[in-house]
Amino acid sequence: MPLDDETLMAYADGQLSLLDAKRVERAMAEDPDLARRVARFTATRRALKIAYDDVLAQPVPDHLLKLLEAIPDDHIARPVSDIGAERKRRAPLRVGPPVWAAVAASLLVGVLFGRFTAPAEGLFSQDGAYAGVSLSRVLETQIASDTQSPDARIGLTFRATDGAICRTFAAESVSGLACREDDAWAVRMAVASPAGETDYRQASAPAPVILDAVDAIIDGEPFDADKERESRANDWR
Amino acid sequence: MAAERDQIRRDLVALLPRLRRFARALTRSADEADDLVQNALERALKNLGGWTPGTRLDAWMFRIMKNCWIDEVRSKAVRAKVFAPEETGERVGMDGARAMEYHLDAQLVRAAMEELPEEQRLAVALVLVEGFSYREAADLLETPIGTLTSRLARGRAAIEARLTEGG
Repeated sequence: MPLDDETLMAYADGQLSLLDAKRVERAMAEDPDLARRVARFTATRRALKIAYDDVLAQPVPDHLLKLLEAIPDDHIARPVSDIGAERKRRAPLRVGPPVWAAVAASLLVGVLFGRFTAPAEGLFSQDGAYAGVSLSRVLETQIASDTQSPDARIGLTFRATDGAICRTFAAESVSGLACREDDAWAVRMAVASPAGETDYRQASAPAPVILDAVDAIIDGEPFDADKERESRANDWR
Repeated sequence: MAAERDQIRRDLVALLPRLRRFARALTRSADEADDLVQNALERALKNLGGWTPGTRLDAWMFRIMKNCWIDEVRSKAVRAKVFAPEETGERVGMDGARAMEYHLDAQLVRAAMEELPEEQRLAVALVLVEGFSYREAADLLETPIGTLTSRLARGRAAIEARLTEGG
């Protein structure tokens, strides 16, 4: 480890491992110039704290506090297990399949075949209509409550009105809904995951547009973990 | 869901002092800072679904504020002035035994911050003002950690130069 300025800076900022920090300290004990350089970094750090820390002690303006008084209910992400409440809370769809079909068609054409066949390679088959190798593996093996695969995460599992078992999934750039057809998983819907501000591995609820799709085709309630396992044992039939 | 809503509200209220400090480090005045906090809160409230419960609310919120600030800076078309070339600060030598007795004048530090290019100011504000680790700050800014540390080093060198001049 060379003792360049970036290393000394990292030491002053407490960013080095214990081992590296010890090395810097040993070197500093022998070389007063090193110690002086570290002290300069510590000094800028202190100067910045002093320059802005007084803001912490100031009272927060009322208009900012007021902003936080009314957070609308529907802006808060819900855990997956709340899907029942979520569905009851949402206005019932007056028309099911036609709306759902139109939404699905536009998304499939516009989103899936457009932008996402390339970046999501491996997740989907060549034409985007079916799950690819990595997504299929996740869809076939994962139980939502278990430790999730880095490739994709399973959200809801349920039986659709046409009898197929369907599962929502979320991968890094795309999330969606796939249903079992014979021995494959047909991708019924795929939408771009919001970039940046969401960590898909921890995302707890499917995107609203996917929930709407689930709403439109679900028969009964989403599966619990036992029912998921039972379905897996039964090859998702 | 009322309990959940109350919890997020409490968490955001608790974050407000830090958000205001971060905003103050980015902007040129207390008023500008509170405008930035307000914009960031409004944006966050519209996108609460984008925050994943169980992940760090502060990192999420600071990232939104960073984005708001960058948008503001760009929309004010001061880009040419604020976006100095990456080399800025490099002429300021990192070595040499210069006087360490800074004139620890908050005004002077703030003036020095205002002169930093946007990227360097963000790095300095996140790490030195807000106390994020290099890793966290790099993630928040969506840059490699090496880029973060070099911006931090340059920004710091420029501030140090101003302080030693002024002292």
